[in-house]
Amino acid sequence: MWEVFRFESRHQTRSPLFLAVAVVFFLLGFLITASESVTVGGLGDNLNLNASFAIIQIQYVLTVVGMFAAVAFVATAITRDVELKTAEIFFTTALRERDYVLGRFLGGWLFATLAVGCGLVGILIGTFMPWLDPLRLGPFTFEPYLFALWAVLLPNLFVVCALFFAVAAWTRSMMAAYVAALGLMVAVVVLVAVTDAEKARLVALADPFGMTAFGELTRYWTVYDRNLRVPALADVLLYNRLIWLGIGFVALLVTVLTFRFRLQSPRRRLFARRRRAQRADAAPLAALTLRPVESGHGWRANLVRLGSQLRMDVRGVVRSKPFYVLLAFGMFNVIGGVVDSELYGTPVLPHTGAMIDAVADSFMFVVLLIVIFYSGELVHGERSAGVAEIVDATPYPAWIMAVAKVGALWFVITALLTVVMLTAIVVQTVKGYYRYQLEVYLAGLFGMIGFWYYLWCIPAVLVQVLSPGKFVGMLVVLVVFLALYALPNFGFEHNLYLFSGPAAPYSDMNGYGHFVQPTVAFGAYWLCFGLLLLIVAHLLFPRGILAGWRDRLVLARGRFSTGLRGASALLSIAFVLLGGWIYYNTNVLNDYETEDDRERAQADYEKQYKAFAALPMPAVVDIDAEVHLFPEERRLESRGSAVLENIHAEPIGELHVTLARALTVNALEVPDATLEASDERLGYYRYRLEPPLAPGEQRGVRWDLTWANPGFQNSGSSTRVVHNGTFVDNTEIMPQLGYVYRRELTDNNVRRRYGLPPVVRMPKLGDPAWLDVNQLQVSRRSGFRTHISTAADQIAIAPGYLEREWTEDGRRHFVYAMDEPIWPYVSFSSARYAVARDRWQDVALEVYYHPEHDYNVQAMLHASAESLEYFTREFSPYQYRQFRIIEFPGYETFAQSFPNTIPYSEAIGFVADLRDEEHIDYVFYVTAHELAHQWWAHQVVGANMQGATVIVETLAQYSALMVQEKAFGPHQMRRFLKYELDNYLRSRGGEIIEELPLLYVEDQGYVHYRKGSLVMYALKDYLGEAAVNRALRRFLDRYAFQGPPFPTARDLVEEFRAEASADQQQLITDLFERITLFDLKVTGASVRPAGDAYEVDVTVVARKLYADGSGREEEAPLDYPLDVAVFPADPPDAPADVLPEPLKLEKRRIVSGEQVLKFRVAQPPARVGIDPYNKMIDRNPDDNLMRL
Amino acid sequence: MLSISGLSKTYPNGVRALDDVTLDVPAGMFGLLGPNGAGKSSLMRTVATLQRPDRGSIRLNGIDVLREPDRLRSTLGYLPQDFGTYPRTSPLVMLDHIAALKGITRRGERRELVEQLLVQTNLWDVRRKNIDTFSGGMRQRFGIAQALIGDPRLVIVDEPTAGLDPAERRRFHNLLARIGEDVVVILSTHIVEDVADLCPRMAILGQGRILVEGSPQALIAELAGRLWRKLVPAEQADRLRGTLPVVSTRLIAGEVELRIVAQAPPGDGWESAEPTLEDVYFATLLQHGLNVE
Repeated sequence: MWEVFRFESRHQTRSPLFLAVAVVFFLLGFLITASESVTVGGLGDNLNLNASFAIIQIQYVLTVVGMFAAVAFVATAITRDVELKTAEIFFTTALRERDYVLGRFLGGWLFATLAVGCGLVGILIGTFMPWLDPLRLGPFTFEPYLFALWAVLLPNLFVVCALFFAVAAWTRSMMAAYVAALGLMVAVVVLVAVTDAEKARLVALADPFGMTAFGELTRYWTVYDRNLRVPALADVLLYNRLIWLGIGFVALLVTVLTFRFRLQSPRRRLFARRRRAQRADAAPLAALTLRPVESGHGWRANLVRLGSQLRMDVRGVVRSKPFYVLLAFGMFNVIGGVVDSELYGTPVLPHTGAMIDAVADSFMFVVLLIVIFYSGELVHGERSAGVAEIVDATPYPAWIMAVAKVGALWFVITALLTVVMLTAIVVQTVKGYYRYQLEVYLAGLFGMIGFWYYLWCIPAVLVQVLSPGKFVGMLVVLVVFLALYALPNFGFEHNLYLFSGPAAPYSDMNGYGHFVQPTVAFGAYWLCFGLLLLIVAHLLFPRGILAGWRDRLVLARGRFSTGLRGASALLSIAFVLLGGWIYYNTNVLNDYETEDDRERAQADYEKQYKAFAALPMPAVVDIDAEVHLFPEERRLESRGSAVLENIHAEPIGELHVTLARALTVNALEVPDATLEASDERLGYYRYRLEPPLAPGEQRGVRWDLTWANPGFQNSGSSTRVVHNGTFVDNTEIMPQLGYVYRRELTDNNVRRRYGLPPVVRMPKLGDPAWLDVNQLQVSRRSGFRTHISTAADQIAIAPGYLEREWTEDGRRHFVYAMDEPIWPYVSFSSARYAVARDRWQDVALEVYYHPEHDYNVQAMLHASAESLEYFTREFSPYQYRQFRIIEFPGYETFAQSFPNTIPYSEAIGFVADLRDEEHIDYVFYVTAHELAHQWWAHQVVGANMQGATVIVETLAQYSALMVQEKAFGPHQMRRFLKYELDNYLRSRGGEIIEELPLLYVEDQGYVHYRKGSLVMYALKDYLGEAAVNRALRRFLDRYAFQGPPFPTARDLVEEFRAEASADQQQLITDLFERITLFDLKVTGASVRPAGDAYEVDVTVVARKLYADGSGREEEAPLDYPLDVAVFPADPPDAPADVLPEPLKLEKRRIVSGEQVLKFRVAQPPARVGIDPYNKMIDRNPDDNLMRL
Repeated sequence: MLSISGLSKTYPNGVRALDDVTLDVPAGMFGLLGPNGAGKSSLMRTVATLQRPDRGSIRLNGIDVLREPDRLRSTLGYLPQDFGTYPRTSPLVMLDHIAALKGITRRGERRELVEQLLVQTNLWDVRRKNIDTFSGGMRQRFGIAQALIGDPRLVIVDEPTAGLDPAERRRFHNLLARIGEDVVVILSTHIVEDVADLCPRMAILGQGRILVEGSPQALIAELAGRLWRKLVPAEQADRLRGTLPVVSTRLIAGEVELRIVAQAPPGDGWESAEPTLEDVYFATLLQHGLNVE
């Protein structure tokens, strides 16, 4: 055995494979850590570059990629003798089979591990590179590397090596081993994609790489944990490792015991009888006479030739196994993508747009594999099959080969896309959705997305034509595509050289909208280039025996006919002209901006104008806006006037105006003022007021602006003013006064690059300088009236009540006006809408929706009515006579509450699948939340500082929860809160600056929404709904329609404290003023009968922890009442996640540490628990319950 | 008639594959004999338009092959020395493909032709089997079937009988013998019997040059009276081989038969031998200083 091992080792050390794989993995590891441009997904910006979590995560990814390298090592170790035809020699020696197999395996495994392990060395060295930002490097420790070595690298390579060695030994085929590897990869990807959180533990066990188990263990890791911690090899991770090492050992053992020296696989032998052709050697016939036939020339004959060649090439693909693996991958991709798009566990209706989106994101990878693999197989097909000499001596015109190879690839892609489409249609049908929209499938799948797939085939074929062998060619194609993919990270973003076009998102409302034009333009441009490449591929396509480049060039010269010269010239001209036209559109009509350019503009704005941020600006007290929309041109004309008032004590001498960068200024009129400086690039204008605006004085300003959107852009084209479904707000189309904080860069790592200090997301809570400015960055309410016009077939909507509507010159005009002042923060929408109307008391309810999206419109109206009912009863009267929901295209996925008007994305709610009543009705939730903003934002809004979003967002969450609980019951509420809890805990790890307690929240969604829900629900549980609502009513009483000064989150919490008893004060502190985590669990329980009742003893262990902003925890004494409960046995048909009605549920005083609780219940108990409904934030809610 | 003149080819690695080859090949079977590495395959590939010579010209019935390769290809049948097929492909599919490439446009015509060929080459029963599973003889018969598609005027068969057992070789010879008389058939081989059995004319190629050309009978006749044989014990044979122009040695009942070419018997015990084509072949190679053994 050791002899074979030494032989194998000698072979591997000398083989270029070892060196190549080692270098590639070293570079991968090195580049990922040493370059900030190359990243592995899911590693937050706030993480250290050498965070232990990152190191381990990268190592996992490297071993998954390494699987394919490992196959090469171990599969060649066992198949090499057959392929090199040395098998007879080896197999007939006195060597024992067992020694041969084991020796070969050990050699292959060792070198696979060494080669892939170079990645870890690369990671290690990469983290020490001097150019890395020292602020992003933590202290060095060996621990993550050790973990990566013995918990990731060694076991994973053993498992994959053993499995694929077994496959290769059994089939004697490299290809079979590769197909198996691909199959495993597909299985893992699909498994991860289609599993919901509830089955996550099971998947964690089934994942052969242990990556899911690692993800499961680190699910709730904070930034602090991710930077410094290394998980213990325990729980699912331990079981996973044991299971898979076991499987690996068994596979190896079976291989070693059953391997026999034979040339063919045992499987083949089974079929040999059938496959062996009979010897058809009857006596020869008398004469070899053939009826002479005409050999054709000309186009018809050539088309037949092409057809036949194409058929042979397609046959080759269709009869190969990887084709079916990839088809299966395509199918699972669709299924996985659909399951993935759930929100609160509720699926989205499988509408065609969503199906295509699901495919578009992840499918590129599969198609790339196909193009790379089959271009090599096809171009080198004749040569490697040995049929080239026969074929090349037949009179086919040379162009047939290049065209047939590309054609065969196109066939493969078409087959794949067709399978994807059919799968998607089956999924739609299974889910009971029958609006198939074949035209969308064809345009999207085969056009907007597929076009590029088809185009990729040509350069891939060309590379293979130039390449001496298919593997070299495949590698080159891969490198070329990776380079093109990576270039934008280095600031090279123009599609004129990236062999691509702009991303083209689809929306049901707007179709592909204005993205069709650039896609067609870039498509035509690259098609010209592709055809030129095809001509080159044709010219250089090898035929016969070529002794070198000289022969090729001679051949090429012969093939370069006058016709081809002409075609090449025309294509070149078309290529240049199209390129010029594209350049004119992207760089002349529009500004070509890279990501860096955009960041620089943001940085420049801050550097140049932040100095003026403290200048007092007047308040807008009346707006009369005129907005003319030209949807077909994507043009918007914004004219209007506003009245400004000096609300400060001193005169205002300077007026500063910020304009969105896309706007063109036709006129900006500030009376009694001189323009001191104007910066068109950044959109900043400074006026000196002569005379200054005296305190209390009002002055009017006028504007005339155009948002033109001419031609098309290279990337990042705005999706605000579109053909159907325009949605803009005033900050985009009207002047804003003074310095706009929202324009600042928020990522501190980026800010450092531009020499900016760390970001200040929000002023400190209580900062007196900001008490007079609210979260909407204004201080006064304003009158609002607008005249908005649009295309004849569209309806345009803005906040306010419709005063007039008329059609003039083929355009539709609307005038909306508010009868009370509003916060000057308004939206303008326009689309071809259908309208649904209803009433709640004297409030008109309206939903403006895309006519095909009628699924949940009634649910929205219902939710609106229910919400108005609860809010008006519990909080205060509704301030408007009307409430409107307005659908906008799914380019964004949010809803936003403007006065009496709520733009609502088509991607949330409108296409939710609410047919299963078990599912959480998030349409109801979103609608209620947005409607609640009419109170929490439009009636009362907090001062612009930490905690402001508690008043706006957390209270809207609470309001929605209450209506929801009334409508659907506490059971659905608990399920909803479970999602909130999971989301909050997971999101903490992605925090980019620091987590803050709710009271100090700095516009952090996972805190003010997700944690906000949990905190408010717990508060309601302790204080009671009536007390909380009483506090809210008082808060509204004091602050609604008031200010400045505006209230803070502290004022709100004071109202809650006023309702709370003395022993609840600490709880409120923990909920609002700390980042508090609980670790509650039942560790033991016993029951004994006592007469006709039962006595239950429950041992619980409780801990309370305070975390700092990075997630570092410290224990704090716990001493307040918590829920404890005793449950009876489950009723027989109860769903698994529903607890039965408790026999006893009460709050008992719980302190830190272990304690025994005693209960007496009348019926037989089955389960006991502490905080059984997970009202407290506990990272491990599963151990709160115990079965007796 | 195929006429080759002044054909030369030197590979980039310096190997001189063809060295001023001039040859006229009339209709009928033409044997091209030569040891391995003599340049047979280079010559065959060059004539089959798969390879470009450095110099020289090839003409077939008025076609300038180098200038108009496609015109030659439409009348060419080529059976390469070592060939494969597309994986998992039956002769039916493969022959149909070749027929299409050769320009037989109508599908019905193609099918008829392919079926006819399959019957003629005795492959009808295995027409749907994978060619991968064929025995050596069946493969070669398939090879000749594909070469004969499209009524070729020039058929080139390169080493077709290497590795075939005697019965298969016989069968293959029968096939070749039945190709029409007005077709130029070049049979390239290193097996002398192939040529002796089939070819009215032949040439011997060595080191890229035509060493001798003519009809086998004439070449044999030329050697008549100059070939001598003697049976000697094995240890003596080695000694004699160093001193005499030994054409061939053969073991006969434990003794070695030596054959030499000389105007007169070199000594005692030598007797005149009846020359065969094999003797001609070896004698020619010997004469040009090419070591055969």
